[in-house]
Amino acid sequence: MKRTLKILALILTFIVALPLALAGCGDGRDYYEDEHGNRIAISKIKFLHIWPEHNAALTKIVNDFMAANPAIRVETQTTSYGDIQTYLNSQLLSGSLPDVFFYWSKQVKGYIDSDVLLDLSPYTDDWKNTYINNGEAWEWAHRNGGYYSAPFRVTGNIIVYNKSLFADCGLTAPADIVAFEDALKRVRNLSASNSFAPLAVTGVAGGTLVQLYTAFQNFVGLQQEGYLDPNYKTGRLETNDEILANEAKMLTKLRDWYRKYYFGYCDGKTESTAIRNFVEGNAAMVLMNNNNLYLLDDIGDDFEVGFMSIPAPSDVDYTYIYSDFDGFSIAKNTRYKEASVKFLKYLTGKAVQQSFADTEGSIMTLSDIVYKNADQQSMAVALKDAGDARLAYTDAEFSTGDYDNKNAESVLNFIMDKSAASASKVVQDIYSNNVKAMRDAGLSPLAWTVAPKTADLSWLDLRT
Amino acid sequence: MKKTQNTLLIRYRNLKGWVLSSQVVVAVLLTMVYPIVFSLILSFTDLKLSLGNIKFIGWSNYIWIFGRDSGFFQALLVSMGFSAVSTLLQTVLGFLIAVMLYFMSGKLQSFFKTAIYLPVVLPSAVVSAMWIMMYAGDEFGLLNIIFGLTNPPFQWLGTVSRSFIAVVTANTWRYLGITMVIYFVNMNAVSKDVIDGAKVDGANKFVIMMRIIFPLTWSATTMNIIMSMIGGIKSFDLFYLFQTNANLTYELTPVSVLIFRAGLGNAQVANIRLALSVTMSLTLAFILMIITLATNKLMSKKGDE
Amino acid sequence: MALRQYKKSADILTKIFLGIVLAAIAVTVLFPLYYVLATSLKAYGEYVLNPLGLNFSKLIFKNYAEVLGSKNLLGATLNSITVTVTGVVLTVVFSALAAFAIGVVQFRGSGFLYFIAISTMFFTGEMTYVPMYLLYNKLKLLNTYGVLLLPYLVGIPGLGIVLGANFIRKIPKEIHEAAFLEGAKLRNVFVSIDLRLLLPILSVVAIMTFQSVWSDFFWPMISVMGNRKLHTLPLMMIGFKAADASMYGQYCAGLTIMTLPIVVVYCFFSKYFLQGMSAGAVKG
Repeated sequence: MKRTLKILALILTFIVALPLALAGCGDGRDYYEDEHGNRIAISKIKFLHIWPEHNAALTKIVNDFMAANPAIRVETQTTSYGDIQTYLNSQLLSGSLPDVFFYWSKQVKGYIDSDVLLDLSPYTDDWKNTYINNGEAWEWAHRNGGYYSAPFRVTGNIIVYNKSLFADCGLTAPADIVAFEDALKRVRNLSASNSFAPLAVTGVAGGTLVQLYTAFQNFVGLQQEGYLDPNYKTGRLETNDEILANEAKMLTKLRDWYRKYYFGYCDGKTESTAIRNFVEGNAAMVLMNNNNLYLLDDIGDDFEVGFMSIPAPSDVDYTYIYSDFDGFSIAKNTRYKEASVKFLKYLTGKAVQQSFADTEGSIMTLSDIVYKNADQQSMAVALKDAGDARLAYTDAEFSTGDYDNKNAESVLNFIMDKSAASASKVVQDIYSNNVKAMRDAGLSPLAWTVAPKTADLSWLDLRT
Repeated sequence: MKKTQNTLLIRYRNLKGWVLSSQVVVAVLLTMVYPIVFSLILSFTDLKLSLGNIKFIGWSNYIWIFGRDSGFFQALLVSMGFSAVSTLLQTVLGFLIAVMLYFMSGKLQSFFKTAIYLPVVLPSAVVSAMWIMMYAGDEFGLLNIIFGLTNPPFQWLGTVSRSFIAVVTANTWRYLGITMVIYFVNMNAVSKDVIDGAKVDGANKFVIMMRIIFPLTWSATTMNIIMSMIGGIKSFDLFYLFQTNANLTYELTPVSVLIFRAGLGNAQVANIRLALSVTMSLTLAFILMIITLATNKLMSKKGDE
Repeated sequence: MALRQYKKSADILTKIFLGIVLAAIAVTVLFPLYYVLATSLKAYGEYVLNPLGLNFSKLIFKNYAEVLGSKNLLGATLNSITVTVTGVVLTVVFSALAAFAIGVVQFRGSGFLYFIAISTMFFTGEMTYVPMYLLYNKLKLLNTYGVLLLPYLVGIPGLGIVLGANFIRKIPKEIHEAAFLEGAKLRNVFVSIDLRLLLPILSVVAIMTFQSVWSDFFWPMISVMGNRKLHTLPLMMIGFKAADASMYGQYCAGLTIMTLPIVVVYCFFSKYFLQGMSAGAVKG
């Protein structure tokens, strides 16, 4: 018995010691010899992304790169959408961000301010010119005179609609918000069942239902040309009775749509379920992320699909798309600057972008990508305004943090008829929360310096 | 009692005692004293995640926490409420199930014991993945599928009270096994003679359970209550995962999640005030210490009866 | 006579009733586990069509193949084993030593130490990580093996101390006194008497520690994510958590693989475990 115990202990120690020894071994070679016999230093960069679903494609991309660049080794790390925040912030604490890492281009502002990102300006000239919209996408991370994020692909929420069903009703893609509401009404009358959704959305915090509210806010901003105020981008402009009244109208309108079952049963719906409803014909439209295009494959030949963004009031030229760019940044203290830049350029180069579009169905950021899939092509067209930099708070100097969650929840609860408060109270509270967030950052609201242009806001009124 | 100790023991007692528990002493210094002192100092600064310039800001952090905007007290309420309800459920249900098992016998008994204890050993990721699927509020939520569809599909996490019940249920499901097992082994220790005597006297099972078994397993009850209380206040995994991966309302944020999010959380800007997270931890520590002392006093008084 | 028969049939009825209730409880308890297992065997399409049922003709093992084929699986498993075994061994040893010191030696200040041990049980890693993380950063231990193992070297084994000390206190004094009267040294007393007696308690500590260390993903994530060679199993599983449900099959397969060792260990040690629970809880 003692003998077997001893052997067991020995084996256990061996198993335990093994990884320790392995970890102690070096990172692999530091040099290699090329065909001329020169010793070339090997750069080892760490590459972080959050797409386990694209693992196969990305592995091939990375391997191709390493084959073409024997002096660069790339180690890929994957984390998930839910954990990226925690992970990056903890790396920030220890000053060891991955060399090339994923982050949304519109949201890197905090990292820029913390001075942990490499300024890509020295490399951007010919790089930027290959991008859609003349490189406008780069402007999102253009701050303090530097460029800090290279957008890789577009991630946005678009409306996919059942073209065949629309045709049956004699409808075409609505050109403006009023026509959109008409379409909703017409489609609603197609089915007596309340579970049929003219527009399938996800009624969860952070879901697509709240985006409609943001869209409405942006439409008014576009109509009244509020974005012309020099302080618009700080997000700190103070509110007034008119703004609050309009926002209350927006909430009421959306609640009206909810009550009329224009969204079907959207409470607690997940995106995959909403898409599934659409695929099975239980929804006429679905507001979904463009990168989930592959989930529509099941439709097959059942019906035709079309893509559009949320239509704006007729006097506005642009459409609003809740969107961002999946981009990559380089850590400022990377030990392999040249290698990281080279890898990043490769990722946003024509070859990779085209193949990624072909195999993964994404909409990329280069201007000369050809989308072979017809649906993909229409989606790209629908997303063309995704990079519109005029309307968002790119310079927001405060973080709404937890207030964001609370605000989103109050909007959601009101629209879904779960709130006892009035619309005016809800928007008032949201504004108070924003002010609190500003105060926490030591800031205060700013006054408008530009008067709003008078515009036709009648589309905000309730209609029967 | 001390007088009966051996003189040899007394002589070297203190020295040897400290030597033996030296690891604990070092551990206390490193993992308790250092963090507490460090946190204390940090709590008077405005340290941000970016580790930039630090300034001393006096009591501002504490004032902010005790103000209405911080959500700290609401979080405390959530944690304590959750802990209280969970403790009640786990103790009572654990007792009932243990009694039922006690009156069963043989193979079935051990099968049920193992089955009911199994959830305890599962990783949180597994537990939360399961329950998120169960509680999904659309027509594909597992509970909705099992119990048939209402129109519209039932929102298990639709209101604050429902969400609370949902999390409590998931948590009870997970930890029921522990209380049950503790009760069960204690019951087995109760001498058979007492039970048989009661049976002869014509007592039915219910009476036996309440009048005999329950009082005789009081130490198990104590242990269960303390363990459940502690576990309830610590509870992090379920709430955090439910909030990030399902639509659990943010009204139900316990203190542990609040502290975590204040430090690494979901604020996208790296202006996160680390000092706040630390301050909250300290305040929580202080409050818990008081509760522990109080509970200890209370429990030992009862135990002496 | 009649009364006896009545009692007997009432007994059987009660047993049946209890059996049914318990069975219902068991089903409720085991159902979610079945669900994860079933999901791991389905392809995404099948999962969408049939989330609850088990269509035997459509079961696949591809999910498991994908997880098992991951490049880092062996490394991650070994790392998990190393960290868990180290953690369990260290925790058990230190628990025993401290419990002995507090329970038998009863030196001055042991009550205070005991109180501190209880207090530490209130805290989780998610609450205390800030100072610890910064400390390890200063010591340049991040992304090394040290940061995974050191916490158990310098961590307070709260549960072990509480359970152990309580148990030792209940051991009749005569046993120890007899040994001391015969002039036995402290360490001999420890090894020959207390260690044996503490075995059930130590099994409880071992199992609880095993479970919490094996499935811990928070601390490894913030401390060693940067070095792939040091990843543990839970970290690897994050790599299968896609934002939507499309990779649910693989994720569940990974979870099952991760859970299997715990279940096996539990089943194997449940006998000692139950003994330990009873030993720790029974009134002396």
